[in-house]
Amino acid sequence: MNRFTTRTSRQTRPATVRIGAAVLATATAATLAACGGNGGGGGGGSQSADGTLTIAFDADAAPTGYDPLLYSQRQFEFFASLYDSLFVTQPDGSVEPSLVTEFSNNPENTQTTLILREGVTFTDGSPLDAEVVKANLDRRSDPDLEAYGSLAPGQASEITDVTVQDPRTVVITWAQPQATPEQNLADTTGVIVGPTGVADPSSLETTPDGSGAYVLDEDATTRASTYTVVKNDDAWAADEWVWDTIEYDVITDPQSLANAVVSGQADIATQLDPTTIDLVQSRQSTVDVGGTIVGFPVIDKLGSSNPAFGSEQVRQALLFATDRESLVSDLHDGSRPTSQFFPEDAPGFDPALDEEFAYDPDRARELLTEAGYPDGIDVDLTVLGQPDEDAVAVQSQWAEVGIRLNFVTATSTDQVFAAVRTDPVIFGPFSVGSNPAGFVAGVLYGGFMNMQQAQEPDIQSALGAALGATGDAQQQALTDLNRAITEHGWFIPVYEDVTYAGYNADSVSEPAFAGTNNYLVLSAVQPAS
Amino acid sequence: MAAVPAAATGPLLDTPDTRTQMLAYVARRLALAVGTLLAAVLITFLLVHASDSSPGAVRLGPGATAEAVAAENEALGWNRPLYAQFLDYVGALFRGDLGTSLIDGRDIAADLADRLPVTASIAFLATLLSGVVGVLLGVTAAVRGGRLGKGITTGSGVALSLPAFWVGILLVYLISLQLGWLPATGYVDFSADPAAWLQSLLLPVLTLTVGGAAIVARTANAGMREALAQEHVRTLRAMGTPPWRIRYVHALRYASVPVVSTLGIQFIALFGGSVIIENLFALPGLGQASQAAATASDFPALVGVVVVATAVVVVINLLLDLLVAALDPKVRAA
Repeated sequence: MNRFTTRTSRQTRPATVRIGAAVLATATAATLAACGGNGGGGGGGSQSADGTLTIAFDADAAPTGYDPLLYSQRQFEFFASLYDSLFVTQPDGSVEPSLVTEFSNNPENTQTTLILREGVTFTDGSPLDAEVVKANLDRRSDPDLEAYGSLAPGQASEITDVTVQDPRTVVITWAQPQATPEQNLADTTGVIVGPTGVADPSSLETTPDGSGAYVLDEDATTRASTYTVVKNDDAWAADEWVWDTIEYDVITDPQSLANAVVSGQADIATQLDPTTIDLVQSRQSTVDVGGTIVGFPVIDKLGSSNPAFGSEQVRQALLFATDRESLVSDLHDGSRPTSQFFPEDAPGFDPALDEEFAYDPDRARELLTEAGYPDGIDVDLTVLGQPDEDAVAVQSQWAEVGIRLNFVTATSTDQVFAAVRTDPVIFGPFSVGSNPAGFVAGVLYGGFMNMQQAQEPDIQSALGAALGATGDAQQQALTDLNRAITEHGWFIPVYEDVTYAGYNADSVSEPAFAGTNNYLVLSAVQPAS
Repeated sequence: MAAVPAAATGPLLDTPDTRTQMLAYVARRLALAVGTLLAAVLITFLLVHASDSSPGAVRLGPGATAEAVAAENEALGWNRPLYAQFLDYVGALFRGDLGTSLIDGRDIAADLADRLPVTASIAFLATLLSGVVGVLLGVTAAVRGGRLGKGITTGSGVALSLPAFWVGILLVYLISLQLGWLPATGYVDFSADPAAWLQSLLLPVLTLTVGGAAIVARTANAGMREALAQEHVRTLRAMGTPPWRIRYVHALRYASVPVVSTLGIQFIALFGGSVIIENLFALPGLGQASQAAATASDFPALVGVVVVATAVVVVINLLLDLLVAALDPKVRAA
């Protein structure tokens, strides 16, 4: 029966079936053929040919809307196209005026006078003037505005007063001397939102109100997936950006992010996961920058919840018990083991610290014994979900000297936030960037890493000197500050993370990071020559 | 001479009885569809309210005080009786209003309307291609038998065991990264460039088709084997009906009922399971939206995704039931 059926089917297969199969095969082949033809460039080919720059981000560019002040400095990568800032960090790390044409500081560096640019107009049609700048900076007490973290009351770069001298002149008064005041007003922190957005911040959830070279193309934007901005030819800085359109694609999967730039769907992909660097470098190009220090800020320096941490020797024991070389070699090829809080390219970096506080488990045991803990100590670390693989690696290293790192699983994000007040240490990456003194002032000494408001004279005096001095004196003060942080065990560094961005050299010029910050200066990106 | 089943004899008979049966069937299915949708909305609504968070806490963020959260919840109507909130939500739903996001204030209906075509396109094209490839393979296996039949059966078994994300990674590596034939990521709107739209969807669709075609091939194979063993087929042969007509008209029609059911389930599964594929290929579809909403505890967005996805599933189920009923009178008479 089967044999009969089989033979007959071969002889009498209807033409329609054969034609259908042929059409399907032809259509598939034709489609594939139509997609090919540009080598490794992928189906989409270079996006820059029609004046569009396509950038793939590893995270949502605007997860809570278009108020740039809600975000950290890194978001300036996206918001720089929609908004202008008072000052902008350049690829060489210098800070240049943007919405400001001139500025001056008083001799004590406690007052900064800004002369604003003329001819700047916001999306809502209003012109830039001193009142708008004041209205923006007067939002600095709002705790939701992450960009103003260092300018808020009580912080190291606190602004005590913003005065409108005339429509083009604003005078900013600082609570204490600032080494480089303009650096405090650069990028996201210095972004100026239009009057409509300032008056009604909730409007920024859906509608940007900036003076940038681009405006949001809402029809071509799908929140959390793709943001498209188109050139606003009337903008004062329109000529500084060469692209007609910029498309920001959100690709959270690390492999897909790398694939996007390798196959040519994105001109630039940032930030690349370390596991994909080799792939991208084998087919396209990469740029990198350090500046992010991964480690354990010591929270309980007074020993309130864990008395052992009140001892400087115990905190130093953690430094000596951490085998950074092994961890980097096993888990973070390309990163740099470090025993200090300041990045390699930042002022104040001291290579001697890496030698002095290198891995030495015997020294760690000695310090624990001297501190009165010969049997070791217990350290709780609250984590949400699974602990980070770095923390797990450190757990086994510390265990060798008797430091028992216990992961406490949080059941809510509230519990994680609360742990900043109760755990002896926390763990994570910290973007210290090119202004480490500012970061120390705003975060490590005057911010959430020191909720207990612990005092350490060496750190305090070095920080004061670093913020108030210039030139060689500032350099020395920063070196002293860096050393004081390490020696007193206020931060247990593990490695300096290197941020990578991939780019298609056939379509765009080599992008550059903003100094040692981990975000790119996209206005400097040009089509490949 | 054996009776020939209605499913194998031809299209619907246009008699008053048949029409009445069909209309009654359609009415029953419609009522069930609306009931299913309302039940899904109610369950999601209750689950959201059973969580230990609140929209006020989500909207204001982790730094908000308990008093501020309570005031925000009050302003958002979270403290009103559950039934009142539910009725309001259903009322708004009928007006096409899914509310606004707690996180960024965007209009959820508009956002999902942008995303629905992406997910629907992938699911539809993958189902279509799975159907064509699967039926071709399944029918070939049943009709030709022998080593080819065994090969197809074994191959479909292997294909069924391959996880979609693994197939996707492999296809991206080969077709996109090595050969440069198709884009590895991204989506182009159909209205912007139909050819680029197809290119942007081909890899995701091929990824999903590997497993989908395997299921359909197995179903079609089994259905065809059963059909070809029926008494009425033997009768048709005895009557001198050409073999190709027996196979591709009568037997295939008989086998089409389980195949259509499988395709429908396939579409629903592809539609619901789009998160991984959309992440892998960076496609702005419903899967991405649901993941983002769940991660951010954006309750209105989460409920909106569930409503839209459930509505699509219910509609597909309805169409599937009607198609099966049209193919098989026993179903509509049940």
